[in-house]
Amino acid sequence: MNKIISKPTALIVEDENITRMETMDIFADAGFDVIEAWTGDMALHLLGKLPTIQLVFTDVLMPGRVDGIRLAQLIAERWPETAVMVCSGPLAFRPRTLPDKARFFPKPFNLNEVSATALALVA
Amino acid sequence: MNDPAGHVRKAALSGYDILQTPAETGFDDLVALATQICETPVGLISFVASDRQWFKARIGFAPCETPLSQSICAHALAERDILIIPDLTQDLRTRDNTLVTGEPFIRFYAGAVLTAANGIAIGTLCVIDSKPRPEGLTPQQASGLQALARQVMTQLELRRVIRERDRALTTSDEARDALQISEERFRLSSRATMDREGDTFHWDDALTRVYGYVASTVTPTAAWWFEHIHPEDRDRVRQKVLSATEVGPRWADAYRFQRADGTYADVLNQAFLVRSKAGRVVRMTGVMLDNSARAAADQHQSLLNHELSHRLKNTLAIVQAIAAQTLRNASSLDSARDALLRRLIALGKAHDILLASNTEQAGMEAVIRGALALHDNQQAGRFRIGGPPLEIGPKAALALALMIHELATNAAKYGALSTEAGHIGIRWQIDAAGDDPQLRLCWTESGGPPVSTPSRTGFGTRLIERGLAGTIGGTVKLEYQPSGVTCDLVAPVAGFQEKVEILN
Repeated sequence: MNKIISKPTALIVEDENITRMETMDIFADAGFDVIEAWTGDMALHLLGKLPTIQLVFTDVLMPGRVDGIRLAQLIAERWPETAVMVCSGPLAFRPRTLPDKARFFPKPFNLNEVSATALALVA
Repeated sequence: MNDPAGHVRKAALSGYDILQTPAETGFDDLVALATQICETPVGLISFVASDRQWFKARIGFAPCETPLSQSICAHALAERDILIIPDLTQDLRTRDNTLVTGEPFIRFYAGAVLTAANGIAIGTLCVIDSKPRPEGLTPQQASGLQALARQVMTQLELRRVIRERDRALTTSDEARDALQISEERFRLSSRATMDREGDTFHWDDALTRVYGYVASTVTPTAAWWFEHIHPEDRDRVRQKVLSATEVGPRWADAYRFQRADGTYADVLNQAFLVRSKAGRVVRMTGVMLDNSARAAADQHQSLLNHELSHRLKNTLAIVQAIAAQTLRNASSLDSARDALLRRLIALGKAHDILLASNTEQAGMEAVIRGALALHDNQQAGRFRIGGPPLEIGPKAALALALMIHELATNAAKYGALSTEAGHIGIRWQIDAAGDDPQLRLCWTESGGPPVSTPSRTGFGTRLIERGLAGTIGGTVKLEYQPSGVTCDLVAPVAGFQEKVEILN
């Protein structure tokens, strides 16, 4: 039991409030400590402050200068150890370059698949 | 001066549009004639406005207007046709008039009433003397003065008719211009024809009209045409023409064609190929339709569709999350079903309000009332809602509706709405003092049973505490006072008014 002393930390980035609540609960149920951001800018700020963030789960379309895809690219550059999961409605998704390691989930996402992937990424 | 007829007179005067206009010979002549006929040093055409009299023409009298208190003409308006006062110092109406008691010490007055077509007296043509005239006017002078007064009215009517005709002419000029503009638009949207024989191109004058080229600067070759096709479209069009030349009777393409000013028009081009008996193409005839306006409309339509699908996706995501959260926190399936249904109704009401306006905004009060509709038993005074009018954006409207709905749901179960006497105040105000104006919304329950802090925090409470504040920023303080629940929200007005932006 000395492998995981504390829970892994996940950052949920989603501008829609209730969707964010639900996503946070999914990750909390999966065993994560969960923190939240509702813009890409805010997520970058938190990533800079909190080196313990192991995983970022982000929406694509968000207000502000940094959308989910840009956020994934910046994380790959600056925090290559941090896992990234990107989700979006299929209609809103533009085929822009996601970093190789980032996982994409179309909305509505399958709860079990998201949980399982998240746990595998931080294992 | 008590003047009940004042507003009627004012309307009649404004119909002639005469006040404060410059002197006109026609009126000056009539005043000159009046002084000659009546043998007086002073003559005036006076219009009696609501607070002053104004002189359109005057002889022997300097001011162009006087206050109504100095007006003798105002008294004349009460007469049918003419007022004659032989000695102004002896008449009750005029003896204290400052024009009588002081400079210029006037003594005699005779005024013929100017009556508008609708019977309203609007002023006088009057003559004045500095000496009293016990004999007044002779009958000839009096009828002469009245005849001249009628002439003044004729002049006024004439002016009015001329003005109306001018206005009508202006209107018809504008209509004609509008017609020209619309014809021009039609011509602009029309087509240029091209005719190619060998390498020689013949364009019709639409190349000038639609695309702005001066004919003398156009090289009449296929090469010139290709050069003016957008580089990204050029090879494709060239290829189409080539393959049509080999096999087809016609070709059509949509491409960008450069106008003389350097900008590109979206054109639709259709062309027919005429072949010799041997099958060789001898001629290509086509039309190039400027489709820019249509293309812009299509682009707008596509943007709207994109936005609509984004909205739909978002709404479904919210509904999915509300359903998941409701189930996750429910004590039984029945209670979950009921709570979910009610939440979706509250959300739907807010959507209706947003959709009802073309601006995609909703009134703060309308959103609150919509969210309370489920909880309103029509008992008077149940809800006391008030605050300054504020239009709020879609995100804030949906979150506010859910927040109010949850507060009301709790109030119906445990708070002010669970008793007959209970009532709820919902009031907001805007603090615009700082750079970032804040809206403060207070929910205050009273008259209900004593309340205490619930043991567990459900989804409803999260919606209250984080639903709106988590969407637009701000803070929420939910307190379970013994006297009733209070909920204070402070959030930036800018957040309330934020519109949905679509990122591409």
